Amino acid sequence: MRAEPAEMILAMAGRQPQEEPSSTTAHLIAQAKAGDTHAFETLMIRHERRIYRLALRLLGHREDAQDATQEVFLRLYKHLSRLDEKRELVPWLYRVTVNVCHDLVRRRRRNMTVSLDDVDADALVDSMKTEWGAEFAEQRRILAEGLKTLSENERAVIVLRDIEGLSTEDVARLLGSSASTVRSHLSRARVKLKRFVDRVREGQS
Amino acid sequence: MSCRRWERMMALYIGGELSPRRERRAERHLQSCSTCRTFIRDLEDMRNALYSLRGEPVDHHVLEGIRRSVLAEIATRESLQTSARGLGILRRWSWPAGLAGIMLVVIAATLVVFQWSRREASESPGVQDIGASSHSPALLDEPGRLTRALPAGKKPAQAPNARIARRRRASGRFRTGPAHAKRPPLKIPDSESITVEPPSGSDQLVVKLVTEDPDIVIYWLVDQEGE
Repeated sequence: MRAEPAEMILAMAGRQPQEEPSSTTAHLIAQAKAGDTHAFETLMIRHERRIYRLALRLLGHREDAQDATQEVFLRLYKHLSRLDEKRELVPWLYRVTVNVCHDLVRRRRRNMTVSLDDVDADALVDSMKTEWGAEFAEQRRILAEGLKTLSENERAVIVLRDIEGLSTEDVARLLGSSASTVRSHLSRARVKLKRFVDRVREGQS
Repeated sequence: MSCRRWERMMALYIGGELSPRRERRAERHLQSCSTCRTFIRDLEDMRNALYSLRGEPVDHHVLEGIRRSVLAEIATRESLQTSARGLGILRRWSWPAGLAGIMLVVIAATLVVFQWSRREASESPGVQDIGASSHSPALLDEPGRLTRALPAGKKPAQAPNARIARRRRASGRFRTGPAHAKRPPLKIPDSESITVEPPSGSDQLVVKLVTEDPDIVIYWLVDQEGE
């Protein structure tokens, strides 16, 4: 189940995984560089879900996440000529997503509290119920709400480390900070989130 | 010792984030503290639940919308870049193109002025002679043979030649230029060969000039004012 993050960690360390899942991605990047819009669209289809989810977790707002995802792929298109197709694309996309979300949060800081409350949690729960059942859906809803109570740094660290499954070193590289800072944010974020979940469950019972 | 103090260390213990020394310390505490063991178990559950958020469903309409927006934006940027590139080319070539245009205008104006002065130079004596003749009342008022207006035996020497040259140039039948300039002037045999006939219903007179060369018969129009 954790194979995908492992691939990413390998890639972020500059190594190629054995099964070279990105060989087609490299081909697509080369085609997109040559002006093939269809190849670029295929690249988008391949990564958009992951990038949108990451943006949604980092921003906590659906429309902001859509804007961020759009901006990430526009930046990808803009930087195509400078991309090295031999390297993995996902770490680059993650780094850009984190930066774009950080910029969005900074730009919309005043509206952030309001927009976090505006998340269509009920719609999310409905869709989860159909896939995983009501109990799991409720648990995830609480976690999604709990993530919103964290600071931007804490949320970024816990999303990248515990949801996306990156290593502490990779998270530090993505965020441009040290591993000890990431650990500090991570421990605080986990404790805060657990307390939030406990409070909600106590309130429910 | 309050377990609250251990919470942050336990939060790092579950992910293997502690140094070996601190990890051993945490394990020693866990052996003696049931509260922290429960805390650790809850943290692990929470972490697994967080990890499962990776697979939460995303409405494919949302993703399609994002894709459409991105592709539309790219198409717009591409067209703008193409226009900018075109403008850049225009901007790059505007000075040379402008200079070339100005040079063309100057050359054309020079040619026109040159042609005009050449024409004036070639016409000036003949036109005056013809003008003097054509303003003769006998010629204009009384259509008929030109011999009436001309003294007997006198040939309209140079003036018709100038007209002939002009008509030739206008008709395009003969080359103009140095070769033509070298040709000897046409000889007009006598005054009998020039006739003036008014075309029916017109104010103009047709002057017919028969030269020594039987292949060359020249007509020209003269209005009532003698122009």
